[in-house]
Order: sequence, then C-alpha cells, then structure tokens
Amino acid sequence: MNDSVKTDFKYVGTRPVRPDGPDKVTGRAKYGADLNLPGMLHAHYVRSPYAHAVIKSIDFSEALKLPGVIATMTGEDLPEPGDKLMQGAEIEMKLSDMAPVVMARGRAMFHGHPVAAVAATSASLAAEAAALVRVEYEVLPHVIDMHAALEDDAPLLHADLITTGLDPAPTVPSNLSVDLALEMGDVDLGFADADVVVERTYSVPMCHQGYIEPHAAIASADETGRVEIWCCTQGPFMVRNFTSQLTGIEPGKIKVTASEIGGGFGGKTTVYIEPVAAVLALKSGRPVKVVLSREEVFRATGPVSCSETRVRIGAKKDGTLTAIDIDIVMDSGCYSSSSIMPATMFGAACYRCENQRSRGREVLTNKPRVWAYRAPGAPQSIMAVECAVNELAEELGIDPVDFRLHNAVEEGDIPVFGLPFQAIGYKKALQAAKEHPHYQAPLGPGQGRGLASAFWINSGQQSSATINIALDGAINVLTGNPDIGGSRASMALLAAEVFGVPVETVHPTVADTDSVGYCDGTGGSRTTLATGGAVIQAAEKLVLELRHRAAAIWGVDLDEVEWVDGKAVARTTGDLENLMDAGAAVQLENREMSLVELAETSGATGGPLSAVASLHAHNSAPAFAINICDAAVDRETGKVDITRFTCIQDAGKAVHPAYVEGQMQGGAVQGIGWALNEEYLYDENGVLENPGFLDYRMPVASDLPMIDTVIIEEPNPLHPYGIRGVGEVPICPPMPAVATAVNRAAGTALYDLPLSPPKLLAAIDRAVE
Amino acid sequence: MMQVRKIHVSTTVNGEPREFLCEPGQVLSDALRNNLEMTGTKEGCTTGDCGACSVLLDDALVCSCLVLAAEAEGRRVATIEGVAQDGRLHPIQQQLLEHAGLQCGICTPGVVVAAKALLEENPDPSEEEVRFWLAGNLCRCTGYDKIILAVLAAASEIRGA
Amino acid sequence: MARVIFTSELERLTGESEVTVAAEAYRDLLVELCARFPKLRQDALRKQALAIDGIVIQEPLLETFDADSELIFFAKIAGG
Repeated sequence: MNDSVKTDFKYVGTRPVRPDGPDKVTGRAKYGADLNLPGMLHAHYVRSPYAHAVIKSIDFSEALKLPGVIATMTGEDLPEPGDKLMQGAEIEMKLSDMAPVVMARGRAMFHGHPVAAVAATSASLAAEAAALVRVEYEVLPHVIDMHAALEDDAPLLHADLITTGLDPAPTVPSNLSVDLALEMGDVDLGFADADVVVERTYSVPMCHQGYIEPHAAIASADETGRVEIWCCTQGPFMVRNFTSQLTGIEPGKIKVTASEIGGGFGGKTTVYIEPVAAVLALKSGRPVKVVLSREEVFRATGPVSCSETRVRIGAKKDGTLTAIDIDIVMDSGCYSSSSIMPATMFGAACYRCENQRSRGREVLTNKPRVWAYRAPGAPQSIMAVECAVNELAEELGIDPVDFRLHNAVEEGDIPVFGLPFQAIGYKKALQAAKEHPHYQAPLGPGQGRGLASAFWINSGQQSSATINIALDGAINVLTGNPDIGGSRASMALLAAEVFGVPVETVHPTVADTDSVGYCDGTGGSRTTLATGGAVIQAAEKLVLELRHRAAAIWGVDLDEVEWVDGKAVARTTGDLENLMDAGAAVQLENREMSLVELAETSGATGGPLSAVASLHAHNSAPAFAINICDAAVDRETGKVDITRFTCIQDAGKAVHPAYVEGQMQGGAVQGIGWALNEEYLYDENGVLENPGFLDYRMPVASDLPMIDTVIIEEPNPLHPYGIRGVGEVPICPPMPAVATAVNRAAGTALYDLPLSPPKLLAAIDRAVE
Repeated sequence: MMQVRKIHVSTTVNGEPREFLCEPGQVLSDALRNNLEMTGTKEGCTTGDCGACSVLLDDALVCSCLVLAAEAEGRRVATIEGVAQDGRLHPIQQQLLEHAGLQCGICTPGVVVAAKALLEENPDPSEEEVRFWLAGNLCRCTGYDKIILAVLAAASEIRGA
Repeated sequence: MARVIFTSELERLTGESEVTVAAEAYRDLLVELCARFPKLRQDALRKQALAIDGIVIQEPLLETFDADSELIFFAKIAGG
C-alpha cells in the first residue's frame, strides 16, 4: 500500500455525538418547509390530468379574479431550452430533457406533470386559485408499459427521438432512447466451454426514493433581480447552476442556502420547484414558498426505473465462470435519464470472467422522468446477476461464498467496463461473511437463506472547504455539502485529526453558495472522501501556518517547529529570545505553544488564521458489499418475515463508524422494501394508484429484525486517510439476497419483484402443482 | 370566493396558554408550524401515515395532521419543543444522539414524542414492543436498528434513575 | 508511446481494442485519435472521463501523461 496513506488515527474512527444532533432531536433544526418570510406568497401547481396531451391553452382569468392571487407561471416563462447541454452537470444532460420536467411546455407527458402554477397570499387560496385555472388539452395516446413502448405501433413520446449508442444510427424515431453494449472476450465460446448454464429473466419494479421530507423551497428577489433560494437539496450549488440555466437568471445573481434536508437518496440531486419559486418571486416581487404534498412527490418526482434483465451465466464444474451475458431494459419515464449506463456496466463487476457481454436499453414511457436513487442503476442489474449466481452455485453444489471467492475480482483484474481494479476489500468481505456467526447458524424450520454481493464505483468530483480559527482556538469548518446523514460529524473528525485537538472544539457549518467555494452535491458516496479531503487540505495549510507563526514567535526556522497533538513544539536547543515574553530569554527545547495561545496572538503574528482548499477529487475507489438474509414465508398468507439480516461492507477507513453502519442498515432496509413491497402501480389511464405511504408500503419498524453490520476497512490507496465512500453500495445486494432467501424458504422460483403476498401465494401454488 | 371567517382557538401547548386564528379546514400540524411557529413538528405526508407530526393531545399520541386545529380548543397539546426541560435533553433524545439513531433527522421529533409516550406507558418494553409502538413512525434513513437500540437504552436509563 | 485501451463501446467505432499514441497531453490525444479514426468525434470523447493509469479524471482538459501510461475513456458516473 501507498506509504502516504495514514493508518494511525486518534479521532477518526471514534463515535462522537454529531454537532447538529441537539438541534435535530429537539425540533430546532430548520428543514425546507420550516422557514416563513414576511409578505410571503404560497404557490400551488396545476397538474395534467392526462398521461399524454397537447396543452392547447391555459387561461388564468378566473383564478386571477380571486383577491390575493398575485402571480402565475407556465412553461412559457422558462427560456426555450434548444439543444444545449446542462453546463456544470456532473454527467451529460440535455437542457431539453430537464426544462419540461420543471414545467411542461406545449405537451403534458405524464399524469401529474406540472402545467402551470399560481402564487397567492395563503396556501389554501393558492390551491383554490389553481383549481380555477382552465387548461384546454388535446388528449394523445399514451404508453405506460416499457415493453409496449417498444412495439412498432406504440405512441411516440418524442417524434425526433433517435436511439443513441447504435452504429449506424437508426433512421426512424422510436421510444428506445439508448441502446448500448459492452463486450470482452468471446461470450459464445465461453458458453460452449461451460458445464452448466443458468438463464433467467428478472424484473424489478418502479419505486421511489421515499425521503420523508417533501420538496420545499422559498425564493425571494430584490429590486436588482438578485434571487435568494432556501430549499432542501443535496446540492445548493447544483440548485444555483440548474436554476440559472432553466430560468435564464445569471448564476451570479442566485444565492442558494441549503436547509437541513429530510432525506434525498439521490432524489434531491436535481431541481423541481426551485426554478418555479424563483420565477414567481421575480414576477411578484414577493417571497414565494413552494411545498409539495406527499401525493405530488409520488406522482411527479423521483421515481426509479423499473427493469427487466435477462441473464445467462456459464461455469465449469469446479465453479469457474466461463461467460456472463446480461441484457437489461430500463424504463426512464418521459425523458432520458442516466442510470442505464451504470446498470449496464456494473451488473457483474464482482466477477472475474474473461467472456462478458452486457447490453442496456433505455425506454421512454408516459411516466415521470426517473432520477437517481443510491447507486443508480446498479441494484437492478445486480439483482439479476446475483440471483443467477446463487442458482448456478446451487446447481454445482458449491457454497455460494466459496463460489464467489473462487471467481472474485481483485487488484489488477479488468472488468467489462474497462477500468482495472486497484486494491479492493471484496475477498476480505467474502471471508468475513463466511466466518460470520449468521452464516454459520443453522436455519429454522421453513426458513431460507440468501447471500448476495455487490459493487459500486463511488464518485469523487469537486469540493471546497474553508477553515477559520477563532481567538479561543475553536475551529470553524465551512463546506457546501448538506448534512444528510452525519457528514458534519465526519468533517469535524477529519479536522480534529489534522489539528490534533478534541473533536468538540470543531464546529462544522453547511454554508450557502455565497459563503464557501463550489461543492458538488452530497451524493455519489463522495462527501467524506472529497469534501473531507478538502477539509484535510485546508487544515494542513493551517497547521503549516501555525508552525510558521510559532517559528516567528520563537525566532527559529520552520523545520525546527513540529505540530504535535494540537501544539507547536520547538525541536531546537539553546536560549533564544521569546518575542511574546517581553524579551525574556527562555529555554526553547521542547517548549510548546498551544493552538489557543497561537490563536490568541494571531493578530500580532500575521492576522487571522484562515485557510481555503478546493479540489477535483480523482481518488475515489469502489465499494463492495455483501448481505446475508434469512427469511420465512407464511404459506397461508404469502407474508414474508425477514428473520435475520447481516451487512458486510468494505468501507475503506470508517471515519465515524456508527454513521457508516447507519448507511449500511438504511440501504439494506430500502433494498428489503424494494424486494418485498415497494412498487409503483399504474392504472390503464396512466394514473399512479398508490401515491401515498399507506399504499406505497415502505418498511416500518415492526417489519424488520436488527440489521447486523461488519465494516471491513481496506484503505483506499489513493486517499490520504484511506477513505473510500460508503453511502450507495448498501442498496445493491439486498434485493437478490432477499429474493434468494424467500424462494428457498417457499420452494418457489419467483423473480418478478416485489415478492408481495399475492404473487408469492400464486407462486407457491404453482410450485405445489 | 366565499370569505370564510377564521376560528379563534385557545389551547395549552407544552403547559403554556396559546391562542391562534385558524381556517376551519386547517390541521393542527399546520397551525403549530405556521401559526405558532413551532416547526419541530414535521409534516411528511399529511395523511397520518408517516408519524413525523406526532404530538400528544390530552396525553394521547396522535398524528397532528389528522386533527383539526380547531379541535385543540380547551385541550392540552404536547410537542417536541416541550420534551427537553431546563436545558437538559430527555434520555430518549440523548440516547438517540449516543446511538447515532438519526441520519437526516426529519423523523426524529416524531420518534422522540412517540417513544416518550411509550416509555411513560411501559417503562420496560421489549424490542418487539418498541418496534410495534414505533410502526407508525416512518424512517427512511436508519433501517430503525439504532432507533430501537436508543429507545431501549433510554428505557433502561430511566428505570435506573 | 502511451497506450489507449478502447472499451467495447469505442471499439465499435475504431475497430481496434488498443492503440499506441504519440500524444502526451489530453488535447493532443483527442486530435490524434479523431484523425486516425474518422468515426470518433471530439465532442463525444469530451463527454467521457479519462482514466490515466487507473485514476479517473472527470475533467481531463489539462492532463498530461507519460510514454508508458495506460489511457481509458470512461463514462462519467455521478451517483445518487
């Protein structure tokens, strides 16, 4: 391993109380909807009652007759997007695929699509006014099912949509937006070489990120056109950037303050309401608040692609994989999104196999445009590969962990997406799974066990941090990353480690976009790695500065001053004048000056102690996770009980292990929900039938056992503290672990998720026949 | 539009007399948040499914989004803002912090209010009893594990005190 | 000469899985590759990250590399 990776820590790896904790357990913390401003208006949307329709006219006249209705908005209030790309977006996105998600322009593409908005002096008045807006529609044929959307006679969503990824490009438009393929080796030869081949098709339903806090924003504008936005988001700089491009307001005229955020999981890495609030604020000259209802959140934000994946895997009798062939189709809703790429790339990333092929197709339908959810795209394809691997291992009579150990990727292996692996902890995690008491424990009667592995790439991206030291030595750390799961605690630990001072003296702040350097959003498992990396760099700059100050005070060279445990220590001998001590001669050897002393005197030694660091992190490293799931199935009702669940993950260095465990447990339970219950249900008119928490059934406390965790810490060789990134991979292995466990418990072969009671009962009946 | 007259409500919140004017259809969570500026009570669904708006109404645990604000007339409301007393966190709050029992924190006020009601009724609950009591409080971040541990630890701390 | 390894996506446009290039900087690399393989387009390549010796650079505009470097164009992935 790289010698420059630190392995000996004093604060990193401990579990202090998070700095924002007291505000969050007492209700003082301010979330998106918790701010009200004087003179504020409330906005309410008008939404399409049709899954696909031309918007012929919008008439606000009746609504505007109500006293207190101040401003209105339609898609025409946003600039024509043309064929521009979103600038500064982390990945390639067309503005024309983003703008109509905020507000329809000319055509409503799904039921619930925003068509107009009104702003009024109260929320109830705005709702009343929205109901009076007359929209004339010409209803168009719609298509909801992605397989139907691929039929030749399917209604076209976009008359000019030509499939990308094919050479030569098709000449006729279709609803197939992307068709891409990756290949290595010779898959046909690989299958010819196999002793056993498993082939099966797996379906994963459309779901929602399910954050508990609905989207909320307030925008206000001053007389110069400068706009301030307060909102719950994973990325305030993303909000500034996207809102600017969608509205035409110059980015320098937008200041975004991120509120506390009530969950995101990828779903708050884009904008829905912020541009609407900004436009209405500019039009009205008043602050405008937009808060979505839970129903609106379900109908018109977030959802996550459903998928169908055909997998074919071949192996020799000894378990050596000979070929893997994946063909995944994903539904992107009404505009192209991005997760088909990782879905195609990463399905079999855990396996060394020289013959691999992976095809990915993205299909458009009259549903809301999908968006990122924790390791976007990967859970769908990993579900398929892992279930097939389990079946293959069973058929060969090989233990599933041994099967994986035999085929596991390690440093130097090249996966189908081409990027060779550096040091990774996958085999260590597999070994830990094998030795875990859960894996050793016998199953109870009627129970089944499933195990699954997963890979996620993790991202780096851009981050900044500012550190100011107060006169009493208190350390204020500013970053631009909303704290969605304890990141303030991680930033405090990293700063404490560099300065060598107790973590309680570090005060992290999530700053607005005017007050700190650019940060990409809190997502992509990047915050601790990249923003934490900026905090480390800024702190190291200040430690160097503190050594300079101490050297100046003592009149010695910089290299004669060390920084040890929060103190400057003189490593020199002899009597020298102490400038701070009225000219008294003092013995210098091992003389110390604390951070507090240096801070108190900073005015006389060069001024305030302050440092900034910014970086584009190129040092991210992948994460691997393994789940073990025991399940029991009630053969009368079809209800599944998860009886035991264990997560093992290579986290790299775990900065705050309790929050690492929390990411593992939370991701696991989201995956369990996706496997067992969560599902978007559409009727024939394209209307979502379950837009609420009662019918969109996320796991509740009584559904679950304790979720055991094992953290493997294989240091990231590219990061100074060995940090890898944690947040996303936990959602990748649960679906195949649960599906395998349930099918073994029930004696079924049901791979059409969710494994809801009626489907499971029918499968049990089929198996009995 | 028919101009609806607002309703005057006199109630007691966290032991203090409070008055507000509400619309007839306005729910208690909205009145607490927007009329009384007590935004510790959160709204995740306004259909009584997520529990983020949990409060006590005359000592009964309710979703305040399912109670009309006007129904608070003459009654006692206890919210998250009244749980920490005299600058000291309640053991449930402290144990949630010690156990990292919150990530985003939006469900936390509701969890605190609900768990406090549980421990007042049953000072020594089993894991299963905690899980069933909190089944009305959705948390999307934690998988509940550390919340359950925190509530059990708080119960133990309170019994020991 | 640095080696460029094409993922199968790019291989379909180049017909080769691996080439060596004289370029020692990102901008020269794009010019050289697009001149050699007419189906490759600079704007399409610019949408990808470049992995230099296994390290993924999202914005490689100013990157340089060594004569023995291994270069892989790689899809940008943002995550959630």
